Amino acid sequence: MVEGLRKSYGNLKVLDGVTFSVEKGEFVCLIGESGCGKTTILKIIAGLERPDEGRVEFKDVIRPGFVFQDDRLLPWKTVYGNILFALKAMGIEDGEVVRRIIDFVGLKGFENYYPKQLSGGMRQRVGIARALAVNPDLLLMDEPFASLDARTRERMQEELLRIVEGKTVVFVTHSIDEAVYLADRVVVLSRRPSKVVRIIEIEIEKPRDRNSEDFIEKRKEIYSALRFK
Amino acid sequence: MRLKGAIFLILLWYFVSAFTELPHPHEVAETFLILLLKPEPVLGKTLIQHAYASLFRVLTASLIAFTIAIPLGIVSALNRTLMELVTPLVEALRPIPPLAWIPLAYIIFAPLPNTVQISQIFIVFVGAFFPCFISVFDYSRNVPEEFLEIARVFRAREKLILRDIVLPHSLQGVVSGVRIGLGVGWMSIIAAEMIATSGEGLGYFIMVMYKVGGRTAEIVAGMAMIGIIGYVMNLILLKSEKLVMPWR
Repeated sequence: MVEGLRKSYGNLKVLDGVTFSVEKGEFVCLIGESGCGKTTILKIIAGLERPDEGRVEFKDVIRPGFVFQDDRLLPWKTVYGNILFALKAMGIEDGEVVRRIIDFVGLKGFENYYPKQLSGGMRQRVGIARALAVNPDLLLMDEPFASLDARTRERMQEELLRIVEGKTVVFVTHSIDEAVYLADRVVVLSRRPSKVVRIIEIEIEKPRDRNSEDFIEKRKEIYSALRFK
Repeated sequence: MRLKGAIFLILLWYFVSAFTELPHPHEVAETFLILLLKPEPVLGKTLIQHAYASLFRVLTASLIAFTIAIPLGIVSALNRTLMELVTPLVEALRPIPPLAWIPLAYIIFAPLPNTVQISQIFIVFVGAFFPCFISVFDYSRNVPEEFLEIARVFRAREKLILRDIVLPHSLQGVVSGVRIGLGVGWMSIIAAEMIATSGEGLGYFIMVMYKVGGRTAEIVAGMAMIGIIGYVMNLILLKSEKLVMPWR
């Protein structure tokens, strides 16, 4: 699906032939150090940027949903308005869908709050709700929980699995723990210019116990793959 | 904090009054309170009547200025042709202070029946227009990339981007443009009134008191009125920002 992506910004070579594939319904984590071009890969998949070389191939026509690293909400719109914006962009203006999504991500009662009045975790929920509102075939998530505190982060991870169940997700992170907890498959990227170092399958039953032996085993495996030069 | 500042100001005032022609604060306060409702004998008008006259001119002129500056600012930020047409004009006229327009305005509008009134409105217009236009133009033109990226991710069409992203963002420019424009307009009217005989207005009042001579307390009372009105206008606009933009 993603094949031989290369991308440079001026003289800075960011991607040096990144290839991996994502199956329908699969949760794939891209993991790598900061600045390794993870976000660039996601933006290329979303069509926000073009690769210098390589291509992204889809089996069907897809409609992506995107969750940004910062929550990226429109400050002048309420929770309701922000989610509705995504629908309006599609030409649908269905308040019922918005209300259902708000309910689904646990934001009931906060419809009329502005982003500024919400906590970081809540704002990220709105970001996820907005991405889900368009009923995406592919959900692209760029370190959505990076700025949250540890407890909120774990809770959001648990909820995310419930929310995106059955959906195809590409999730960028630099947290090994997060990748092992969420992913069906982890694509380990090298330092810049990045290449795929290894692809690790995680076949532990969800929800996963972060302290189980299998979990720790996978964590070690990714850790050593990341250190591999 | 504020109380300390006020006490300090009054003490400083007394100190300066001891060595100069500046009347003592209590004298000014007395004159101010009397003139508020009792007509001052030379012009036969109260301070409130003078304030009302100035305020009326400023509000009329500013309203005209904003009605043109706001849409023009938004449209020229979005339309390349108009931008190329309007920005050089604005850049050329902007550095000329509104006060420099006073003599020319009185000459140009001399053939009209209400020369003084029209000239004064024109001068305030010049003062209020540019800050408002520039503020609106800047905000409409510089919508942060992060918001435009949201639009691209969700594949929003031009019309939706304009309505849900560009316009709400430029509202901040409108709000500060109106506030700054009104402030400059208020300064301009006082100066414009000092030049010509307009019968009433705070600037005119101060100037006449100066020409009559020996009315320093009246002059300072007029200045105090100018300060109070300017402060209150700014305060009202600052407070109403929260009403116009409840998300901030």
